[in-house]
Amino acid sequence: MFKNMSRRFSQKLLLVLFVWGCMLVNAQAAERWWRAWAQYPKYMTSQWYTGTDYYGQTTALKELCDLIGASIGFTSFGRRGGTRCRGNVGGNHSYDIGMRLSYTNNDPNPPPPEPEKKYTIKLSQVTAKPSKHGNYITDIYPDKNFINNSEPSANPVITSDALVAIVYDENGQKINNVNIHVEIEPVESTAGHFKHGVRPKKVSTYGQLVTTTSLDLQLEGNTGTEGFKFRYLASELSGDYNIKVTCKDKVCNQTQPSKVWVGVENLIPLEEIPSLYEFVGDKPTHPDNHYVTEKTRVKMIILATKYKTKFPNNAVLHYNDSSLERGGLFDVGKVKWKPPHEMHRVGTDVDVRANEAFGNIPSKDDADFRRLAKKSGCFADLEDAGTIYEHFHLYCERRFD
Amino acid sequence: MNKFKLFSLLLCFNLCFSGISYGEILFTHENDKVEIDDNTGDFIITYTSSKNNAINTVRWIPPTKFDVEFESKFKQKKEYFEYKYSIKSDKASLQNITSIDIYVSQVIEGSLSQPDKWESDVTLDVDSGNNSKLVSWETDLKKGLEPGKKADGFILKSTALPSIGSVRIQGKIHILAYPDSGPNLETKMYMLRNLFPSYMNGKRVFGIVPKITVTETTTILDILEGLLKTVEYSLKYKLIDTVVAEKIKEYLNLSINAKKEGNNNLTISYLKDLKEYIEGDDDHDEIKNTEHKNSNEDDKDGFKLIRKVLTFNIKYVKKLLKGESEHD
Repeated sequence: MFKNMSRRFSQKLLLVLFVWGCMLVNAQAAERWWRAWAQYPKYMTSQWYTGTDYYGQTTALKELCDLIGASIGFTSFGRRGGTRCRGNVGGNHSYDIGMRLSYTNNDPNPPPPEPEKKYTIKLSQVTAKPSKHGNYITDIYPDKNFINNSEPSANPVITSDALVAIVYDENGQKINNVNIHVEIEPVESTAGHFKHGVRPKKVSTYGQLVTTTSLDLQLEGNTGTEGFKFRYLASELSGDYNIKVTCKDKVCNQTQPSKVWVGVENLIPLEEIPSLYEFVGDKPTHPDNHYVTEKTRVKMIILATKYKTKFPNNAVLHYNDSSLERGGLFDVGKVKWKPPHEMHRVGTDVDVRANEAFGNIPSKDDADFRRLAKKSGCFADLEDAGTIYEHFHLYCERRFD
Repeated sequence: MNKFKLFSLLLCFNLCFSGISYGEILFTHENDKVEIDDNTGDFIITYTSSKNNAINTVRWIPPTKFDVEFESKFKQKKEYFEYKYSIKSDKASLQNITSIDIYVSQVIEGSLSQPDKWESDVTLDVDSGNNSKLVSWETDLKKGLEPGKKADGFILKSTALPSIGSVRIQGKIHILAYPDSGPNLETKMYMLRNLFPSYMNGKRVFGIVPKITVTETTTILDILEGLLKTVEYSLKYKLIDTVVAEKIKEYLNLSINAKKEGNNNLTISYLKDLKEYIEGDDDHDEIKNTEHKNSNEDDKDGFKLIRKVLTFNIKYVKKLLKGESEHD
């Protein structure tokens, strides 16, 4: 008995010495550790536990680890394995402490791995409205301002429906009052933008998250009893945007869908008809630059047909940029993710080459081309006149009888 | 003009005229400005170039610098209607007239004819979404109808009944050309929404055009609805006084309701009342007053057009209604 008492005393002494050591290195960690000692004296030991109360003990250990700001982990010691807290006391020093649940490696019935409590966090629309584009939380379509803004989203103009994040336990029961974190992650190589390099993380390229009190690239909040409600204000860059939601105090897996579809609806690829018109202007950054509305598609065919009839000896028209797959900002030029390619956002503007190079509209036929464009339902002005970039900019789909 | 000359001209404008005020300023945004030159009626667009931040000034001559008299007639033939148009350019016009455009709901293929040195063409009006057509008559861009001259014999045949529609008459085409990507987007949007619709496609006049489609499935109700649209269109473009328009619509709605109830006699009766009203029976002071009030010749002409269209269509519908009654 005396021997037993002596062994316990020496264990406690060692632990006290360890705490003092911690205090020297990191007073804050030591203070937390000391509080843990007071609250959980049973577990402040390096004694190996074996037995049947595996899960109950693990839960208690988790609380202990949380209290001392350490992570819970599994360690194998020779023929034994166990769970313990691992904390950092500052610098490169770490400690293992707490209950060690052990089993022998040759145990024919080792305990099953610890099942962590599974939480899920689900993002959905407040008013459920299915996406037209598949597995998305919601779709965001531009209003008329989308076409007009020359600077991308100093004031975002495209707002999602109200979204709500709710946390559930493994039984599908809603968990209230969970602190969460929400942030935007653009999905690259969507909506026709490729090889653009790193997208600068700012409002004009990411959009913003908004609640009644905040507006930012990321939000912190609490789910309360009804979930955490917010909206996504898209930038003028179409594409897929992942809305990443995480729990701050728990491990939560986000369920699908997690993406928002941003773009102009109903754009279709203008098919190339070499006998009437050819495509130019595709680049690795925007390989598909001829998306248009259905009406513009028909107008382009009519225009090319009339041009071919009027000028059978000229080269066919060369259609340059119209819009990207989902419209939105068409960022040509060296600087990515920015204008200046104005318009070209909703599938109704098309550039037609008109410089003096072979294959383009000769200047002597400019006025006739303008007349043909009018008949086809488009206005036309000449841009970069007198330069190698000279082209007609066609503004179609705006009917003025 | 080749591109080099054009560019030089634009540069010359930049150097010579930047900072000069020409006349009424129509629009400003930051450094951009759209104004109308009081002396010439041209539009002057001043903006900061996105290429080099230089102030550029571009002059655009609208294809509307002429005055024109436009006349429209129609005649019922056995299986179609013949629409005939003529234009007379005013002596004081500054541009030759080079094209006439009319939006119609139907035109018989190959039925267009025109005076010497003019060509005709039909294009699908994509924006209408209902298979309507744009009928165009054009001359060589370098020639055109000179000031003081008249051209007639612009003819189209259609199965559609007469209505009121816009006719676009265009003068000399001057290309709006920027040496760079042009003004900022706000200015471009202003031009697209305000300048181009009124000027780029030429001067708008109104005439009698085939717009009320008649097919095998067309009913009397369709025609009456078409007449209602005609009145609304005329009101939109102020061709008709509001009070008169409302009165005409009232008669038309009464006749539509009577027809829906299958009462052909009552329908005919309301149409008869409408005809008397628009023909200016002594009991209907509004028309007289309106005509009296509207000293503007255009308004008078507008009402004359509507009267012509309504009178004919009422007669046409009454005939159909009588036919139906006899058949029953």
